[in-house]
Amino acid sequence: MDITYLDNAATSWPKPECVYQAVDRFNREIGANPGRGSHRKTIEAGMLLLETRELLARLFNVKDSSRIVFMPNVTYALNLGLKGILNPGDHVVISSMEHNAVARPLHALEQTGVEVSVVQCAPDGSLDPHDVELAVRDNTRMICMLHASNLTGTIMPVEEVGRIARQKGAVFLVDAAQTAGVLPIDVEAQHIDLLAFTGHKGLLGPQGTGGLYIRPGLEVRSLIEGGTGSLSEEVSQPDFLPDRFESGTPNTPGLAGLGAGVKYLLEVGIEKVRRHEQELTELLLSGLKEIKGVTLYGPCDSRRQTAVVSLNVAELDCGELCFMLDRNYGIISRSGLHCSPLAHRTIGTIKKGACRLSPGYFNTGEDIEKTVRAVAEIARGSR
Amino acid sequence: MLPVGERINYDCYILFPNHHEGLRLHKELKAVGIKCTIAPPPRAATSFCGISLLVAEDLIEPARQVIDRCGVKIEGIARIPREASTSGGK
Ligand SMILES: Cc1ncc(COP(=O)(O)O)c(C=O)c1O
Repeated sequence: MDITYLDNAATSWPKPECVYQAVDRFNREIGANPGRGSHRKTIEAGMLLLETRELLARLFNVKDSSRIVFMPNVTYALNLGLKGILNPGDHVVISSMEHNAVARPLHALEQTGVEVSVVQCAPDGSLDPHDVELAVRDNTRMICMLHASNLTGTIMPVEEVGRIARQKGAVFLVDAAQTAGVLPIDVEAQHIDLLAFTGHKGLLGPQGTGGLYIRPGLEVRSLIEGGTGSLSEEVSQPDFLPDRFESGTPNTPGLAGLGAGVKYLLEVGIEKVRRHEQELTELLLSGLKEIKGVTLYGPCDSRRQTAVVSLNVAELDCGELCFMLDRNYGIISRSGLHCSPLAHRTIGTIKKGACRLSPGYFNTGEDIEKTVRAVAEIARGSR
Repeated sequence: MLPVGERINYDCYILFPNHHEGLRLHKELKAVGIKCTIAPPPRAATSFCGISLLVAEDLIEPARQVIDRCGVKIEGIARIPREASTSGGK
Protein backbone atom coordinates (compact mmCIF):
# COMPACT_ATOMS: atom_id res chain seq x y z
CA MET A 1 0.00 0.00 0.00
CA ASP A 2 1.30 3.47 -0.90
CA ILE A 3 1.74 5.65 2.15
CA THR A 4 0.39 9.19 2.04
CA TYR A 5 2.00 11.14 4.85
CA LEU A 6 -0.24 13.97 6.07
CA ASP A 7 1.20 14.61 9.52
CA ASN A 8 3.66 17.35 8.67
CA ALA A 9 2.35 19.56 11.48
CA ALA A 10 3.78 16.98 13.89
CA THR A 11 7.02 16.51 11.99
CA SER A 12 7.81 16.92 8.31
CA TRP A 13 8.53 13.82 6.24
CA PRO A 14 10.22 13.05 3.95
CA LYS A 15 13.17 15.44 4.24
CA PRO A 16 15.04 16.75 1.20
CA GLU A 17 17.81 14.35 0.15
CA CYS A 18 20.49 16.89 1.13
CA VAL A 19 19.35 16.67 4.77
CA TYR A 20 19.96 12.92 4.96
CA GLN A 21 23.31 13.42 3.27
CA ALA A 22 24.41 16.18 5.65
CA VAL A 23 23.61 14.04 8.72
CA ASP A 24 25.36 11.04 7.22
CA ARG A 25 28.39 13.02 6.15
CA PHE A 26 28.82 14.46 9.63
CA ASN A 27 28.53 11.07 11.30
CA ARG A 28 30.85 9.30 8.87
CA GLU A 29 33.44 11.90 8.03
CA ILE A 30 33.59 14.47 10.82
CA GLY A 31 32.09 13.13 14.03
CA ALA A 32 33.95 15.53 16.32
CA ASN A 33 32.76 17.71 19.17
CA PRO A 34 32.39 21.35 18.01
CA GLY A 35 33.83 24.30 19.91
CA ARG A 36 36.32 22.23 21.89
CA GLY A 37 40.10 22.36 21.48
CA SER A 38 41.60 23.25 18.12
CA HIS A 39 42.07 20.14 15.99
CA ARG A 40 40.89 20.07 12.41
CA LYS A 41 37.76 18.07 13.12
CA THR A 42 36.46 20.33 15.86
CA ILE A 43 36.94 23.21 13.43
CA GLU A 44 34.93 21.40 10.74
CA ALA A 45 32.17 20.61 13.23
CA GLY A 46 32.21 24.20 14.46
CA MET A 47 31.97 25.46 10.89
CA LEU A 48 28.80 23.44 10.40
CA LEU A 49 27.19 25.03 13.45
CA LEU A 50 28.26 28.48 12.27
CA GLU A 51 26.77 27.85 8.85
CA THR A 52 23.45 26.62 10.25
CA ARG A 53 23.27 29.61 12.58
CA GLU A 54 23.99 32.04 9.73
CA LEU A 55 21.41 30.42 7.44
CA LEU A 56 18.76 30.71 10.16
CA ALA A 57 19.81 34.31 10.77
CA ARG A 58 19.22 35.02 7.08
CA LEU A 59 15.82 33.33 7.15
CA PHE A 60 14.62 35.28 10.21
CA ASN A 61 16.43 38.57 9.44
CA VAL A 62 18.64 38.30 12.51
CA LYS A 63 21.69 40.58 12.23
CA ASP A 64 23.98 38.83 14.72
CA SER A 65 23.80 35.04 14.36
CA SER A 66 25.32 34.51 17.83
CA ARG A 67 21.92 35.56 19.20
CA ILE A 68 20.46 32.26 17.93
CA VAL A 69 21.00 29.52 20.49
CA PHE A 70 20.46 25.87 19.63
CA MET A 71 18.21 23.67 21.72
CA PRO A 72 16.72 20.19 21.28
CA ASN A 73 13.32 21.54 20.12
CA VAL A 74 10.91 24.45 20.45
CA THR A 75 9.61 23.16 23.79
CA TYR A 76 13.04 23.70 25.37
CA ALA A 77 13.31 27.08 23.65
CA LEU A 78 9.92 28.18 25.02
CA ASN A 79 10.85 26.98 28.51
CA LEU A 80 14.01 29.08 28.35
CA GLY A 81 12.15 32.11 27.04
CA LEU A 82 9.49 31.88 29.76
CA LYS A 83 11.50 30.70 32.78
CA GLY A 84 14.54 32.76 31.87
CA ILE A 85 12.56 36.00 31.93
CA LEU A 86 9.52 35.76 34.19
CA ASN A 87 9.70 36.41 37.93
CA PRO A 88 7.08 36.12 40.69
CA GLY A 89 4.68 39.04 40.38
CA ASP A 90 5.17 39.34 36.61
CA HIS A 91 2.15 39.11 34.34
CA VAL A 92 2.09 37.35 30.98
CA VAL A 93 -0.54 37.43 28.22
CA ILE A 94 -1.11 34.40 25.97
CA SER A 95 -3.78 33.38 23.45
CA SER A 96 -6.33 30.62 23.95
CA MET A 97 -4.77 28.66 21.07
CA GLU A 98 -1.43 27.91 22.76
CA HIS A 99 0.23 24.51 22.75
CA ASN A 100 1.09 22.71 26.00
CA ALA A 101 4.69 23.73 25.30
CA VAL A 102 3.57 27.17 26.53
CA ALA A 103 0.60 26.29 28.76
CA ARG A 104 2.45 23.78 30.95
CA PRO A 105 5.58 25.83 31.74
CA LEU A 106 3.27 28.73 32.54
CA HIS A 107 1.15 26.54 34.79
CA ALA A 108 4.34 25.63 36.65
CA LEU A 109 5.35 29.31 36.84
CA GLU A 110 1.91 30.23 38.19
CA GLN A 111 2.75 28.15 41.28
CA THR A 112 5.65 30.54 41.89
CA GLY A 113 3.53 33.70 41.63
CA VAL A 114 3.60 34.52 37.91
CA GLU A 115 0.19 35.77 36.73
CA VAL A 116 -1.25 34.57 33.41
CA SER A 117 -4.07 36.04 31.29
CA VAL A 118 -5.50 34.01 28.42
CA VAL A 119 -6.98 36.08 25.59
CA GLN A 120 -9.98 34.28 24.14
CA CYS A 121 -9.80 33.57 20.40
CA ALA A 122 -12.80 33.11 18.09
CA PRO A 123 -14.02 29.55 17.38
CA ASP A 124 -11.99 29.55 14.15
CA GLY A 125 -8.87 30.24 16.23
CA SER A 126 -8.48 33.85 15.14
CA LEU A 127 -7.32 36.53 17.55
CA ASP A 128 -8.28 40.20 17.71
CA PRO A 129 -5.10 42.17 18.58
CA HIS A 130 -7.26 44.71 20.38
CA ASP A 131 -8.14 42.03 22.96
CA VAL A 132 -4.44 41.56 23.63
CA GLU A 133 -4.08 45.27 24.22
CA LEU A 134 -6.96 45.19 26.70
CA ALA A 135 -5.33 42.34 28.63
CA VAL A 136 -2.07 44.21 29.20
CA ARG A 137 -1.56 45.51 32.76
CA ASP A 138 1.08 47.59 34.54
CA ASN A 139 3.01 44.46 35.52
CA THR A 140 2.79 42.77 32.10
CA ARG A 141 6.31 41.55 31.43
CA MET A 142 5.58 39.42 28.38
CA ILE A 143 3.19 38.61 25.55
CA CYS A 144 3.64 35.06 24.31
CA MET A 145 1.84 33.74 21.27
CA LEU A 146 2.08 31.13 18.56
CA HIS A 147 2.48 32.31 14.98
CA ALA A 148 0.00 29.76 13.65
CA SER A 149 -2.12 27.13 15.36
CA ASN A 150 -1.13 23.48 15.15
CA LEU A 151 -4.82 22.57 15.37
CA THR A 152 -6.54 24.87 12.89
CA GLY A 153 -3.61 26.44 11.05
CA THR A 154 -5.02 29.88 11.91
CA ILE A 155 -2.36 32.53 11.25
CA MET A 156 -2.04 35.01 14.10
CA PRO A 157 -1.56 38.79 13.70
CA VAL A 158 2.05 38.63 14.84
CA GLU A 159 3.13 42.01 13.56
CA GLU A 160 0.21 43.86 15.17
CA VAL A 161 0.69 42.10 18.50
CA GLY A 162 4.43 42.75 18.26
CA ARG A 163 3.69 46.44 17.87
CA ILE A 164 1.46 46.37 20.96
CA ALA A 165 4.17 44.59 22.96
CA ARG A 166 6.75 47.16 21.89
CA GLN A 167 4.43 50.07 22.81
CA LYS A 168 3.65 48.57 26.21
CA GLY A 169 7.26 47.68 26.98
CA ALA A 170 6.52 43.94 27.16
CA VAL A 171 8.81 41.21 25.86
CA PHE A 172 7.31 39.50 22.79
CA LEU A 173 7.91 35.74 22.63
CA VAL A 174 6.72 33.95 19.48
CA ASP A 175 6.26 30.19 19.12
CA ALA A 176 7.08 29.66 15.44
CA ALA A 177 6.81 25.86 15.57
CA GLN A 178 4.23 25.79 12.77
CA THR A 179 5.52 28.64 10.63
CA ALA A 180 9.33 28.67 10.49
CA GLY A 181 10.18 27.75 6.91
CA VAL A 182 6.59 28.22 5.73
CA LEU A 183 5.63 31.85 6.41
CA PRO A 184 7.90 34.91 6.31
CA ILE A 185 9.43 35.69 9.70
CA ASP A 186 11.31 38.94 10.26
CA VAL A 187 12.26 39.57 13.88
CA GLU A 188 12.79 43.27 13.19
CA ALA A 189 9.63 44.06 11.23
CA GLN A 190 7.49 41.90 13.53
CA HIS A 191 9.04 43.31 16.74
CA ILE A 192 9.96 39.84 17.99
CA ASP A 193 12.20 39.78 21.07
CA LEU A 194 12.32 36.01 21.46
CA LEU A 195 11.67 33.63 18.58
CA ALA A 196 11.31 29.95 19.46
CA PHE A 197 11.55 27.51 16.55
CA THR A 198 11.78 23.79 16.03
CA GLY A 199 13.98 22.24 13.37
CA HIS A 200 12.01 19.17 12.41
CA LYS A 201 8.81 20.66 10.97
CA GLY A 202 8.78 23.38 8.28
CA LEU A 203 12.55 23.87 8.47
CA LEU A 204 12.86 20.30 7.14
CA GLY A 205 15.63 19.30 9.54
CA PRO A 206 15.96 16.21 11.72
CA GLN A 207 14.20 15.71 15.05
CA GLY A 208 16.11 16.90 18.12
CA THR A 209 16.90 20.34 16.68
CA GLY A 210 15.51 23.78 17.38
CA GLY A 211 16.46 27.00 19.06
CA LEU A 212 15.73 30.43 20.42
CA TYR A 213 16.59 33.84 19.01
CA ILE A 214 17.25 36.38 21.77
CA ARG A 215 17.16 40.07 20.93
CA PRO A 216 20.45 41.89 21.75
CA GLY A 217 20.27 43.54 25.15
CA LEU A 218 17.55 41.26 26.51
CA GLU A 219 18.66 39.63 29.76
CA VAL A 220 17.67 35.95 29.99
CA ARG A 221 18.60 33.63 32.89
CA SER A 222 20.32 30.41 31.88
CA LEU A 223 18.55 27.26 33.05
CA ILE A 224 21.43 24.87 32.34
CA GLU A 225 25.10 25.45 33.17
CA GLY A 226 28.11 23.40 32.13
CA GLY A 227 31.00 23.01 29.73
CA THR A 228 31.09 25.25 26.67
CA GLY A 229 34.71 24.96 25.51
CA SER A 230 35.15 28.65 26.37
CA LEU A 231 36.44 30.38 29.55
CA SER A 232 37.15 26.91 30.92
CA GLU A 233 39.30 28.26 33.74
CA GLU A 234 36.30 30.02 35.26
CA VAL A 235 33.66 28.32 37.34
CA SER A 236 30.91 30.76 36.35
CA GLN A 237 28.94 30.34 33.13
CA PRO A 238 30.09 32.59 30.23
CA ASP A 239 27.77 35.58 29.84
CA PHE A 240 28.14 35.80 26.04
CA LEU A 241 26.00 34.06 23.44
CA PRO A 242 25.54 31.41 22.25
CA ASP A 243 27.75 29.82 24.97
CA ARG A 244 25.65 31.09 27.84
CA PHE A 245 22.77 28.84 26.75
CA GLU A 246 24.64 26.02 24.99
CA SER A 247 26.28 23.85 27.61
CA GLY A 248 27.19 20.28 26.78
CA THR A 249 27.76 18.58 23.44
CA PRO A 250 25.12 19.70 20.93
CA ASN A 251 23.24 17.56 18.42
CA THR A 252 25.82 18.34 15.73
CA PRO A 253 24.62 15.75 13.17
CA GLY A 254 21.07 17.03 13.60
CA LEU A 255 22.16 20.66 13.28
CA ALA A 256 24.18 19.83 10.16
CA GLY A 257 20.95 18.37 8.74
CA LEU A 258 18.99 21.43 9.86
CA GLY A 259 21.48 23.65 8.02
CA ALA A 260 20.94 21.60 4.87
CA GLY A 261 17.15 21.91 5.29
CA VAL A 262 17.28 25.69 5.68
CA LYS A 263 19.67 26.01 2.74
CA TYR A 264 17.24 23.99 0.64
CA LEU A 265 14.38 26.29 1.69
CA LEU A 266 16.35 29.43 0.89
CA GLU A 267 17.18 28.03 -2.53
CA VAL A 268 13.60 27.00 -3.31
CA GLY A 269 12.21 30.16 -1.69
CA ILE A 270 9.65 30.01 1.09
CA GLU A 271 7.14 31.88 -1.10
CA LYS A 272 7.13 28.85 -3.38
CA VAL A 273 6.75 26.48 -0.44
CA ARG A 274 3.86 28.55 0.89
CA ARG A 275 2.18 28.75 -2.52
CA HIS A 276 2.31 24.97 -2.98
CA GLU A 277 1.04 24.29 0.53
CA GLN A 278 -1.71 26.85 0.07
CA GLU A 279 -2.84 25.14 -3.14
CA LEU A 280 -2.94 21.77 -1.38
CA THR A 281 -4.89 23.29 1.51
CA GLU A 282 -7.37 24.86 -0.89
CA LEU A 283 -7.86 21.54 -2.66
CA LEU A 284 -8.33 19.72 0.63
CA LEU A 285 -10.78 22.28 2.01
CA SER A 286 -12.88 22.46 -1.13
CA GLY A 287 -13.03 18.66 -1.40
CA LEU A 288 -13.91 18.07 2.25
CA LYS A 289 -16.56 20.84 2.26
CA GLU A 290 -18.59 18.83 -0.26
CA ILE A 291 -18.76 15.71 1.89
CA LYS A 292 -21.94 15.23 3.88
CA GLY A 293 -21.28 14.67 7.57
CA VAL A 294 -17.88 16.36 7.63
CA THR A 295 -17.32 19.17 10.13
CA LEU A 296 -14.32 21.38 9.39
CA TYR A 297 -12.61 23.59 11.97
CA GLY A 298 -10.55 26.74 11.60
CA PRO A 299 -10.77 29.59 9.08
CA CYS A 300 -11.49 27.26 6.10
CA ASP A 301 -9.64 29.79 3.96
CA SER A 302 -6.19 28.85 2.68
CA ARG A 303 -5.04 32.48 2.80
CA ARG A 304 -5.70 32.70 6.54
CA GLN A 305 -4.21 29.38 7.58
CA THR A 306 -1.19 27.14 7.19
CA ALA A 307 -1.51 23.66 5.66
CA VAL A 308 -3.39 22.25 8.64
CA VAL A 309 -7.00 21.07 8.39
CA SER A 310 -8.85 19.51 11.32
CA LEU A 311 -12.14 17.70 10.94
CA ASN A 312 -14.63 15.25 12.34
CA VAL A 313 -16.95 12.92 10.44
CA ALA A 314 -20.48 12.74 11.85
CA GLU A 315 -20.45 10.84 15.13
CA LEU A 316 -17.37 8.80 14.25
CA ASP A 317 -14.67 8.84 16.92
CA CYS A 318 -11.69 10.86 15.63
CA GLY A 319 -9.29 8.09 16.63
CA GLU A 320 -11.34 5.60 14.63
CA LEU A 321 -11.29 7.96 11.63
CA CYS A 322 -7.49 8.23 11.73
CA PHE A 323 -7.21 4.49 12.22
CA MET A 324 -9.41 3.79 9.18
CA LEU A 325 -7.48 6.29 7.04
CA ASP A 326 -4.25 4.58 8.04
CA ARG A 327 -5.35 0.94 7.86
CA ASN A 328 -7.56 1.07 4.78
CA TYR A 329 -5.91 3.80 2.73
CA GLY A 330 -2.36 4.25 4.02
CA ILE A 331 -3.09 7.88 4.90
CA ILE A 332 -1.21 9.12 7.95
CA SER A 333 -3.08 11.71 10.02
CA ARG A 334 -3.28 12.58 13.69
CA SER A 335 -6.19 12.28 16.10
CA GLY A 336 -6.79 13.39 19.67
CA LEU A 337 -5.98 16.67 21.35
CA HIS A 338 -2.67 17.47 19.63
CA CYS A 339 -1.07 18.61 22.94
CA SER A 340 -3.42 21.58 22.72
CA PRO A 341 -6.35 21.36 25.16
CA LEU A 342 -6.64 25.16 25.27
CA ALA A 343 -7.09 25.27 21.50
CA HIS A 344 -9.58 22.39 21.47
CA ARG A 345 -11.61 24.18 24.13
CA THR A 346 -11.55 27.31 21.96
CA ILE A 347 -12.89 25.55 18.87
CA GLY A 348 -15.34 23.39 20.85
CA THR A 349 -13.74 19.96 20.45
CA ILE A 350 -12.28 19.39 23.91
CA LYS A 351 -14.53 16.34 24.48
CA LYS A 352 -14.29 14.60 21.14
CA GLY A 353 -10.96 15.79 19.75
CA ALA A 354 -10.43 15.96 15.98
CA CYS A 355 -8.59 14.35 13.12
CA ARG A 356 -5.84 16.57 11.71
CA LEU A 357 -4.59 16.42 8.12
CA SER A 358 -1.42 18.39 7.47
CA PRO A 359 0.16 18.26 4.00
CA GLY A 360 3.72 19.39 3.41
CA TYR A 361 5.87 20.63 0.56
CA PHE A 362 6.42 17.11 -0.78
CA ASN A 363 2.75 16.18 -1.01
CA THR A 364 0.97 16.33 -4.35
CA GLY A 365 -2.51 17.15 -5.59
CA GLU A 366 -3.08 13.40 -6.10
CA ASP A 367 -2.36 12.80 -2.40
CA ILE A 368 -5.08 15.28 -1.54
CA GLU A 369 -7.59 13.84 -4.05
CA LYS A 370 -6.96 10.36 -2.66
CA THR A 371 -7.56 11.68 0.87
CA VAL A 372 -10.78 13.44 -0.06
CA ARG A 373 -12.04 10.23 -1.71
CA ALA A 374 -11.10 8.21 1.38
CA VAL A 375 -12.90 10.58 3.76
CA ALA A 376 -15.95 10.54 1.47
CA GLU A 377 -16.05 6.72 1.56
CA ILE A 378 -15.68 6.63 5.33
CA ALA A 379 -18.39 9.28 5.72
CA ARG A 380 -20.75 7.28 3.49
CA GLY A 381 -20.07 4.12 5.49
CA SER A 382 -20.69 5.79 8.82
CA ARG A 383 -24.07 7.17 7.91
CA MET B 1 69.88 38.73 23.18
CA LEU B 2 69.27 39.74 19.63
CA PRO B 3 72.20 40.86 17.61
CA VAL B 4 72.17 44.63 17.29
CA GLY B 5 70.17 45.87 14.31
CA GLU B 6 68.14 42.66 13.79
CA ARG B 7 64.46 43.38 13.40
CA ILE B 8 62.12 41.49 15.71
CA ASN B 9 59.30 39.77 13.85
CA TYR B 10 56.04 39.20 15.62
CA ASP B 11 53.21 36.76 15.10
CA CYS B 12 49.81 38.16 15.84
CA TYR B 13 47.18 35.91 17.41
CA ILE B 14 43.63 37.20 17.40
CA LEU B 15 41.91 35.85 20.49
CA PHE B 16 38.21 35.07 20.82
CA PRO B 17 35.65 34.36 23.51
CA ASN B 18 34.48 31.25 21.63
CA HIS B 19 34.77 29.23 18.44
CA HIS B 20 31.73 30.93 16.94
CA GLU B 21 33.46 34.31 16.73
CA GLY B 22 36.79 32.82 15.67
CA LEU B 23 35.33 30.78 12.84
CA ARG B 24 33.19 33.71 11.77
CA LEU B 25 36.22 35.95 11.43
CA HIS B 26 38.13 33.19 9.65
CA LYS B 27 35.34 33.04 7.08
CA GLU B 28 35.18 36.82 6.69
CA LEU B 29 38.96 37.24 6.34
CA LYS B 30 39.14 34.49 3.75
CA ALA B 31 36.31 36.13 1.83
CA VAL B 32 38.38 39.29 1.39
CA GLY B 33 41.67 37.46 0.81
CA ILE B 34 43.43 38.20 4.11
CA LYS B 35 45.63 35.23 4.91
CA CYS B 36 45.04 33.71 8.34
CA THR B 37 45.48 30.35 10.02
CA ILE B 38 43.42 28.75 12.76
CA ALA B 39 45.81 27.87 15.60
CA PRO B 40 45.66 27.10 19.30
CA PRO B 41 46.09 30.34 21.26
CA PRO B 42 49.68 30.89 22.41
CA ARG B 43 50.17 29.90 26.04
CA ALA B 44 51.54 33.32 26.86
CA ALA B 45 48.13 34.80 26.01
CA THR B 46 45.96 33.22 28.72
CA SER B 47 43.55 31.14 26.72
CA PHE B 48 39.93 32.16 26.15
CA CYS B 49 38.75 29.35 23.94
CA GLY B 50 40.45 26.61 21.98
CA ILE B 51 41.30 28.63 18.90
CA SER B 52 42.91 31.83 17.75
CA LEU B 53 43.67 33.23 14.32
CA LEU B 54 47.30 33.63 13.39
CA VAL B 55 47.77 36.68 11.16
CA ALA B 56 50.98 38.27 9.90
CA GLU B 57 51.80 41.56 11.56
CA ASP B 58 51.38 43.60 8.40
CA LEU B 59 47.85 42.23 7.89
CA ILE B 60 46.59 43.15 11.34
CA GLU B 61 45.30 46.57 10.32
CA PRO B 62 43.17 45.29 7.41
CA ALA B 63 42.02 42.46 9.70
CA ARG B 64 40.92 45.00 12.30
CA GLN B 65 38.80 46.74 9.70
CA VAL B 66 37.03 43.48 8.94
CA ILE B 67 36.51 42.88 12.68
CA ASP B 68 34.87 46.29 13.02
CA ARG B 69 32.80 46.01 9.86
CA CYS B 70 31.42 42.57 10.75
CA GLY B 71 31.05 43.17 14.47
CA VAL B 72 33.10 40.10 15.37
CA LYS B 73 33.75 39.92 19.11
CA ILE B 74 37.42 39.43 19.96
CA GLU B 75 39.23 39.21 23.28
CA GLY B 76 42.35 40.98 22.08
CA ILE B 77 45.39 40.50 19.88
CA ALA B 78 48.55 38.91 21.28
CA ARG B 79 51.87 39.91 19.69
CA ILE B 80 54.39 37.16 20.22
CA PRO B 81 58.01 37.42 19.00
CA ARG B 82 58.44 34.89 16.23
CA GLU B 83 60.36 31.77 17.31
CA ALA B 84 62.60 31.79 14.24
CA SER B 85 64.00 35.24 14.96
CA THR B 86 64.84 34.48 18.58
CA SER B 87 66.01 30.90 18.20
CA GLY B 88 68.98 32.10 16.19
CA GLY B 89 70.44 33.56 19.36
CA LYS B 90 70.21 30.35 21.39
C1 LIG C 1 2.54 25.41 18.10
C2 LIG C 1 3.47 24.36 18.64
N1 LIG C 1 4.24 24.63 19.70
C3 LIG C 1 5.10 23.73 20.20
C4 LIG C 1 5.23 22.47 19.63
C5 LIG C 1 6.21 21.50 20.22
O1 LIG C 1 7.21 21.17 19.29
P1 LIG C 1 8.45 20.26 19.71
O2 LIG C 1 7.87 18.92 20.02
O3 LIG C 1 9.33 20.24 18.52
O4 LIG C 1 9.11 20.87 20.90
C6 LIG C 1 4.45 22.15 18.51
C7 LIG C 1 4.53 20.83 17.84
O5 LIG C 1 4.16 19.82 18.31
C8 LIG C 1 3.55 23.11 18.00
O6 LIG C 1 2.80 22.85 16.94
